[in-house]
Parts: sequence; structure tokens; C-alpha cells
Amino acid sequence: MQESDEELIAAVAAGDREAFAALYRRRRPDVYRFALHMTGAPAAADDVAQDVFMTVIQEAARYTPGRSGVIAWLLGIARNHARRRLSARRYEPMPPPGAEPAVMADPADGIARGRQVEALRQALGSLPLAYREAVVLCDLQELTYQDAAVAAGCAIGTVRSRLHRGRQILAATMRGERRAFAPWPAAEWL
Amino acid sequence: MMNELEGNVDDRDLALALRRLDDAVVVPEADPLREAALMAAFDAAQERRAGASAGSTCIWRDSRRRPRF
Repeated sequence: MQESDEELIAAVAAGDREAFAALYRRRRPDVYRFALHMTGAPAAADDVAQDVFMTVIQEAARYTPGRSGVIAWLLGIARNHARRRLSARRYEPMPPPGAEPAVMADPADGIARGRQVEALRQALGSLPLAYREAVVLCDLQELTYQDAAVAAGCAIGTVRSRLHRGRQILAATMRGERRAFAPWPAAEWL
Repeated sequence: MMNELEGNVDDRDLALALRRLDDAVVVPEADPLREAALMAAFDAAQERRAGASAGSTCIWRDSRRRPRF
């Protein structure tokens, strides 16, 4: 039977090498996705994922079962590393065109859906950081409000209000984008 | 002019669009070099812990067994 995340993290804290490797293989994709949505850059997402599991090596014993799920705990660590990188990036030039995240639209869906995904990615990336975190944690990672609150280091009510505001801004942005893509019917766009 | 349908982007539609965005993300395979670096860091941390643990045990035993003069 496959061990749960909680069992794996307990084993990691006890020094089990195989448990660490298993946790890494199982949860790296979740951490990478979160980091990619937060930073908008694949290289940064890779670095954040690496930083998270480096932190796990040192901090596994600090995970408290019952306070949050393991994923929420990992994403909380990822949030801190992503924020650090975003803060440092303010002093770096923007990535060149073509260096955007690897986002692959299904070819069968055509150009419209590809543009839709790209427009939404840009809209998400332009959200204020606190709202972006709430949207990514709740709508993309599908954490509960409680887990999202642990990951974001704030109260549940704060997560709810940030999520609400983030969705409002995204929806408004999408309406603007949709007008720009007038040849595509509305139902096709979203 | 914007029609009614265009102006009506509700949470469900937005959630669906976000789901598509997440589905479209390609997670690259883990880099073997990065994975090896992590495993090496894990091993090093365990060695440090083992060393620290042995050291602290030794000090504790020494202090308990120190003869009183």
C-alpha cells in the first residue's frame, strides 16, 4: 500500500532516505506548478521547487499533522521562496520574449484557446501578489480555505476576501481581453 | 458596444478558464542532477545529525560520569 504524505514526511524527519525520494517524486509537480503560477518563469519555478525540498531536509520535523495537509505545508514553504525570488527579480530585467512559461494548449482546440490560456496567464501574473496567491492556492491547487490560510500565513477570512478580490480583477481583465478578441464568440473564449 | 453575454464572466467560467490554464502547464521531468544534489544534501544532513547526536550524548555521559573530587 502506498504511504500517505503524512507518513512520508514523518519518515523523512526520522532520516528515511527512500521516503524523502518518494515525497520528492510525488509532490515536486505540485510545488513546481504553484511556483510557476506565482513567478511566471520556468527556471524560477525549478529553483523554487529545489529550494522547497532543501528546506524539507532541514525542517521535516516541524511539520505538524492536523494543522494542515502536507501539500499546504510544502506550498507555504514554496510561497516564501517564490516571494524572495519575486522580490529579487524587481531589480532584474524582464525575461526576453519567448522565455515565458511552458504552457501548451491542445492543438485540437485551435488558436483561440491557446490565446485564451496565454491571456489568462498574463492576467494572473499581473495580479497583486496576495491576490495571486489566494487564486493559485484555492482555484488552481484546490486547497481548502483552511489549508490555503496555513500556506499563505494568514486567517481564513483573509484568504476568502483576497480570493474574491483576485477573481474580480481577473474577471474584469478577461472581459477586457475578450473584447479585444471580438472575432471569437464569448462561449468559446471562456 | 459590449453585449450582455460578453460582460457576464462569473466565477464558474473563471474557474473553468483557470482550470484550463493549469491543465496547460507542462511540468518538466525532474533534472537528475538536481535530484542527485538533493539526495546528497539529505545524506549530509543525516551525517551531521548523527555526529551532533553522538557528540551531545558523549558530553552528557562525560558530565554524568565525571568523578567528584
